[in-house]
Amino acid sequence: MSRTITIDPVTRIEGHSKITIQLDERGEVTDAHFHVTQFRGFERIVKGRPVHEMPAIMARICGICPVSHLVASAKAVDDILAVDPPPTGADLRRLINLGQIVQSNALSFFHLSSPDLLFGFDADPSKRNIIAVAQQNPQLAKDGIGLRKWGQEIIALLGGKRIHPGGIVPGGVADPLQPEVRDQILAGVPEAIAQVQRAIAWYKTDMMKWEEEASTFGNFRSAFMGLVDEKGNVDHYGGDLRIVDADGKALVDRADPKDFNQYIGEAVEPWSYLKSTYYKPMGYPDGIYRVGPLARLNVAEATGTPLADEELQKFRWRVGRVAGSSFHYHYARLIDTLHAVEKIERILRHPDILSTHVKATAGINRNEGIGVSEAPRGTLMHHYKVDDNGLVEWANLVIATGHNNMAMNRSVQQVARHHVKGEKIQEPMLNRVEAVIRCYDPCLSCSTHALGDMALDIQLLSPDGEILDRVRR
Amino acid sequence: MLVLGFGNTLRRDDGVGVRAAELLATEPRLMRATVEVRAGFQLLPEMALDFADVTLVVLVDADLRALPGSIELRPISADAPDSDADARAEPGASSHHVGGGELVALAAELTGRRPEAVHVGIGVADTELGEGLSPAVEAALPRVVRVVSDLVEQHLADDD
Repeated sequence: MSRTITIDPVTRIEGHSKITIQLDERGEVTDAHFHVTQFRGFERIVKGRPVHEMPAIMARICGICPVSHLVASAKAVDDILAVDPPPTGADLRRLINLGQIVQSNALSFFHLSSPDLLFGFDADPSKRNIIAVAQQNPQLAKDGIGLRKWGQEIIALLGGKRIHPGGIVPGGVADPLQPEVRDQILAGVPEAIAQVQRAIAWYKTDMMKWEEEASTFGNFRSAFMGLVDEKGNVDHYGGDLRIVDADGKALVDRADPKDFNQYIGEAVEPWSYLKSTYYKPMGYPDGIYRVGPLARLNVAEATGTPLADEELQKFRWRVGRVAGSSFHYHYARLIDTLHAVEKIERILRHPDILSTHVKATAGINRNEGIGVSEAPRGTLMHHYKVDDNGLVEWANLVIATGHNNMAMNRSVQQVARHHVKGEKIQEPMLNRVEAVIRCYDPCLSCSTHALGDMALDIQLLSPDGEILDRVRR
Repeated sequence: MLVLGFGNTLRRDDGVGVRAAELLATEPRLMRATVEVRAGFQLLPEMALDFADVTLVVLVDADLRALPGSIELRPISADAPDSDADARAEPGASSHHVGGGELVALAAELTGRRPEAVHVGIGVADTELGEGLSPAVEAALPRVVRVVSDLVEQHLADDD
């Protein structure tokens, strides 16, 4: 008789989900699924709203990554207005987006994942939290919180507030940068670099302990997708779309991100509200690909900033030119963060950054627009259609967590096959199954706009629905 | 002192903390240099550092368990759960639902300073997608302003 293990909902990810693991009569894992169990109504809410309101509305999708939606949405409206923001306006958008990358990456690594890395996957669950990290390694906890606070301050200074900031508007940004704000952000750069470098040094010292996890946490061949600049380096704001295969060979290169529908399809499964995106030429479900910090490093030639490129070289020496294990998202996230801090400094030191030409204005010139940028968790696409009066008729969001959906499912299967033993639910298995999901740092607020409940409820079910075993914490 | 109202204004009554913070920010009794009123989407880890800088933290939030429009005050400590999430999860189980107690504990671990903290929970009726508060919750807002203002003034008097 087959069995199903259900982990519902998953802890320490943003929003709601559950995991089911299907066992056969011998207790072997036959299948596993990562379910998103709440429906996101955002595409429906915005129908009939003036398109100029879209960035402000979309920023309210998520309290963790509002800037990402703000940026992608503003770019989609730019497309409808048929305008390009002035160069300084675009750079100020880049700046706030990089502040978002810093704070969100810091949340993922230091708050969500460092407890596993510091105490181990077999540690007492009551110890695997940020307070215990602060007791065991105060510097690590302080660095994580300090880095996040700095990223949030950049968002607040440029966007007016930390959560659901404004500042970014169709055509550019609302206000030019003031010299004192530039100087205030620049003053924090040295400490931010030191904080990330300490974390990287700590991670590199400890990473050898996790060889087994690196070999089983989503270690498979897949494609990767991200944005790159004209040199092929990491670009978090614009540039071209690049998709590479598991060997690093370009499947799509120098592509206009607005043409993403040519390459990316969306499939729906009955067991989840989260859509599964796939690389069209390979079809569904074979067209699996990954996005986010690991993908950004895998698709790019380099990051384009010196300290991050030094670390990228070591990263590739350790894990290969194209890192195949999702466990390495943690390492990649730190390098991504270091690059973001360096890029913030570079942008702020550009002589034109105080220019007052930051916004272009126009009316409705097209009935369709697409905006694409890199969110902390990966490539984010906003696609709108409007009527001649600029009222939204249709909207579709292709979010990073959707791009990674198939990869997350395959990763859960891989971990479950390696660690699930028998029909009893055991803590080390539970945490490893959850931990592999955390590698992707999925944001289910973006996926569903959930209202939170983060208890852990694990059920072992027979095929007829009888509960054979259940664990709650 | 820090007064923080938080919640999701696109989930109707879940946004009552934010709405309360907007009113508290213009309340004459709280117009003092030592009182900061903020509205936010959710509690976040770095707020531990803000907690460490004040002697009183007041968290104004929706309470899914209480009667719509009712107001309940609970002291927050590192050992006493202050929200649904705290009551169910291990400390630090989620960044999305980091609790006030967790932030008090984190402030103490990182800085050695531990503020007095109070959770002001407002019972809600409707947390579906949409904007605006239900009538019972909207009607409770003047009482929320009064209760929070009393709390702050009492704390000031105790300090004197």
